Amino acid sequence: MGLKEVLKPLGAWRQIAKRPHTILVPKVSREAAERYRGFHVNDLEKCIGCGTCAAVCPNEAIDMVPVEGIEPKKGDSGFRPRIDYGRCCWCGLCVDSCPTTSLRMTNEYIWVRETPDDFVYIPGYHIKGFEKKEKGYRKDKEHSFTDYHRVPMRELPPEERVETFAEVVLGYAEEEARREADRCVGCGLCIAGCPDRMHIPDYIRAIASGEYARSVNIMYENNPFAELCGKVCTRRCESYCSLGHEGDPVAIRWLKRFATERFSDLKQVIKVKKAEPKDKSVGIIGAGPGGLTAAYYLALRGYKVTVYEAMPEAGGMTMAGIPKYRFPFPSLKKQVDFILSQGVELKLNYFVDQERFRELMKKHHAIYIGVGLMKPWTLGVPGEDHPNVIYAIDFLRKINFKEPVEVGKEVVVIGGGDVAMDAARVSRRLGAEVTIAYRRRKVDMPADHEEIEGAEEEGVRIWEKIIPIRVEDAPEGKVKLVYGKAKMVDQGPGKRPKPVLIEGEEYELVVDRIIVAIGQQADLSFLPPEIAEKMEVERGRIKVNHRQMTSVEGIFAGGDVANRVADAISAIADGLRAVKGIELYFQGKMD
Amino acid sequence: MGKDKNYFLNEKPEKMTYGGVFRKINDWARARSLWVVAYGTGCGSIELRPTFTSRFDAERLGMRMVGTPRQADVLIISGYLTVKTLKRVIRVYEQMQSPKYVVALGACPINGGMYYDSYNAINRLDLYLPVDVWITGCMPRPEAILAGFKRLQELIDSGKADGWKKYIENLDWYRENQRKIIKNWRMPNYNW
Amino acid sequence: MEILDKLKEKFEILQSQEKREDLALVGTTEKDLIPLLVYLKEYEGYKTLVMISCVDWIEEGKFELVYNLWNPSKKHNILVKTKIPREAPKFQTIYKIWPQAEAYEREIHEMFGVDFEGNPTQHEELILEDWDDIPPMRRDFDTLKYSMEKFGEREPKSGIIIRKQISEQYDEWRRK
Repeated sequence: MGLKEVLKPLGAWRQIAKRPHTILVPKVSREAAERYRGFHVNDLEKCIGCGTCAAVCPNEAIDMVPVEGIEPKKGDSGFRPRIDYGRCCWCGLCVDSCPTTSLRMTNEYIWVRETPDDFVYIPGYHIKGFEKKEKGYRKDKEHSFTDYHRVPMRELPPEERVETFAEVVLGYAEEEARREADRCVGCGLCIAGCPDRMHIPDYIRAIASGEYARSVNIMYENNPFAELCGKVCTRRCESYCSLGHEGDPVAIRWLKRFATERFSDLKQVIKVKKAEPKDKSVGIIGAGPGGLTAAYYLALRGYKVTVYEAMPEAGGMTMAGIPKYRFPFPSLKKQVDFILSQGVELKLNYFVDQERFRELMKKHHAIYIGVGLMKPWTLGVPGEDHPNVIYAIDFLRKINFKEPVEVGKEVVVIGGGDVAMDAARVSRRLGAEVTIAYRRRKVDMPADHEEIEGAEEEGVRIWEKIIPIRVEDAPEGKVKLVYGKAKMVDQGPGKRPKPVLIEGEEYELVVDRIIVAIGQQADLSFLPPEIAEKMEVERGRIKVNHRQMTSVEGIFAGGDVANRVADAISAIADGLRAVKGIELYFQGKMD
Repeated sequence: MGKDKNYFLNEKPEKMTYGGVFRKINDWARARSLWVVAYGTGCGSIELRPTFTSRFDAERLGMRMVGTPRQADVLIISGYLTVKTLKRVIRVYEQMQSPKYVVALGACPINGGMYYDSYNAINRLDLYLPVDVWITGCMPRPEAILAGFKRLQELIDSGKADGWKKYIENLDWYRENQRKIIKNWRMPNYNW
Repeated sequence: MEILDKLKEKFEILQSQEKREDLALVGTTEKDLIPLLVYLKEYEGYKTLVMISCVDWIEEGKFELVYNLWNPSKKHNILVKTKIPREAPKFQTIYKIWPQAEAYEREIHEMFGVDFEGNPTQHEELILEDWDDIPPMRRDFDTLKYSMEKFGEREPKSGIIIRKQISEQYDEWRRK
């Protein structure tokens, strides 16, 4: 051993001035990285309880529990995630998959307890002290599980559209549909938004896995007009889609359309279970979607069903009111034929008046009224009886039944609903220059925004805040609309602003036709007086209970004539509810 | 158990050798010199390396690893426990001298963690051993482990860390639970 | 590939595939498997048995044994597969060809219940001490159910709120 070996260890003394690399926990606390996956925080206001976090959790660490102070509502299940830190592995999939980005993680990571039962908590509800921490793992929008954007729907170009009555929407190809269906997280919040409570996640899952026939069968469990809904439904379900909070909602309507359009013969696809024939019979007035839905499910339950329709075709407003570029006739025919093939008797051109209603009362054990709203609301201004003032509902019916209609070169449509859009776009297709005059602003229009966009693409002008004052005759067979401008008056929070006429200003517009599309009302003159006086009518609609029965025993009503929503899917839902009601009524178990 | 007499407790020890007039002093001293048996059972043992070596240097808090259960005060269950390991853990625990403490790391001993559906990993450690401090995480970082030990020290200081007493008092209950999953108490001879 | 062609001449080959440059796969019958392994070891230089594994094809009612061999001089792997019946699965041991096969066969016996005739230690426990159910790697073994029954859980989970429940809850709330 030489001197070198003796001296060398002394070299270690040069480390004496160095700072030790030991972290002096607990004196010094080291903050975790900015995107550290620590304990969860949930924004209870933003959370919608969709359960995607619970579904994606690989360890079943999350379950959804009801939370005090949070009530379920449309688009919110009222449940909130509860996390078990005896299960969690901090993988962050729950955060990555959260559709509203309400769930996130902080970079807090110390949780020490003496009992093992203290590791379950509801983030956001149980306050732990680290809620305010901003750092931590958050959902990265660029690396989302689900695509934020829906697969775009192919449409005819606007310049081609105005030439023809061909369908505007072209539908998804198979690959597109499956890609779109794959976006669905299956939370089911949409179900509460659907009046008919269709099993939306189930049929979307079936589409995603390519089982289209199964998917259509699921739809037909509670909706015999699936294809109709696939084309023209007001799709309130989509506004409650959990994906809609951060991106586009799943195209539920287009997916339904895709699946149903694949099959031209429904009889081969849909497996129906028919009950034993029963000796009760039901008369249904009006072959609209609601009436036919009731007819279909009553027939499946074994009842004798006869449907009475005043028009020469079944389908009600979907036949007479919806233009064929949105809902082609063969599609309706296919669905109606399938319903009739289940043993439903249909009497066309059979207008039920008071006398016939009495007959039906004797003939049938129960009656379902689904007559819809066929009488238009009038403007209530002087000069409205001018022959060039026509009503949208009559106009559309004539077009759909191929009766001759003359619109001229310039048309003004008064109203802002879907019917107004339909009337305007049909007039465009007949070659007219069209202006829509609406008394509120464009954002207030009750029409579907896609319809408004479609109309504008086709060259329809939209004028806002127009209030008609009177209608006057004009030379050369024209008509003059005198109107005033409106100003929007705030009605307080949560209420629609009200349009108020600005006095003293009058403007004139000379056009060929004025189409009035400000809504329809029920025409209940077919009810015999002894029934009519017993039947409660509330603000123009027949009052029904939760089983769709009117105040007259054995008479049920549904659809536009009974509900305020007045769309096809609500009518279908009413029809379905009435089936249950009629069955309970026959069994004497009406609650 | 018969011939396994040497491996496991057969009956409750008659005398509890802890307490008396010096108890407070004992507690104070014990809390500041915790020796941990160097036995890693799951993935958490990887976090014990930085905890006990120079990065976090637990020895400055009086903690260090020892190679034999008979000199150790603390048993760390570092993560999941399989049935096979549980048998060894019980053996190690019963060899340790009272007072002794158990610290459980991670989610797995609490409620199964990511092995909640495993055919071979237990879900609830408190059924089989008395645990004084639970630290969740997957795995808890060394800071969290040290926070857990700080809590353990406080508990010892205040005389509340009495898991080992519970184990002796409720030995039958623990044994019953252990017997539900450990049928055979024979230890194999590792000669292959 | 050369080796696959050679094997095809000599043995009954049911499937063969060149997976990668250094990995090939052959499937053979139960009868031909051991001669094939011996041939690969003695004549083709596949001296090392890397591992044996097993696949449960429950739909077909078969277990598939996979022998992974390594040729150190050519740096080439070959996977030799064969299917045996799932009911009372039985096969011959190869521990006399490669002694390390003993442990692999013991593990497969434990996890799948395949009986390797002639293996002296396969009935000893390897990982699962006191096992009391069907072998756990079989696909008809419900591991979650077993775990919940045997090890319990702290608090039963209400599970994922299924879709219909959400709308039912909403309807119920609306009726109130």
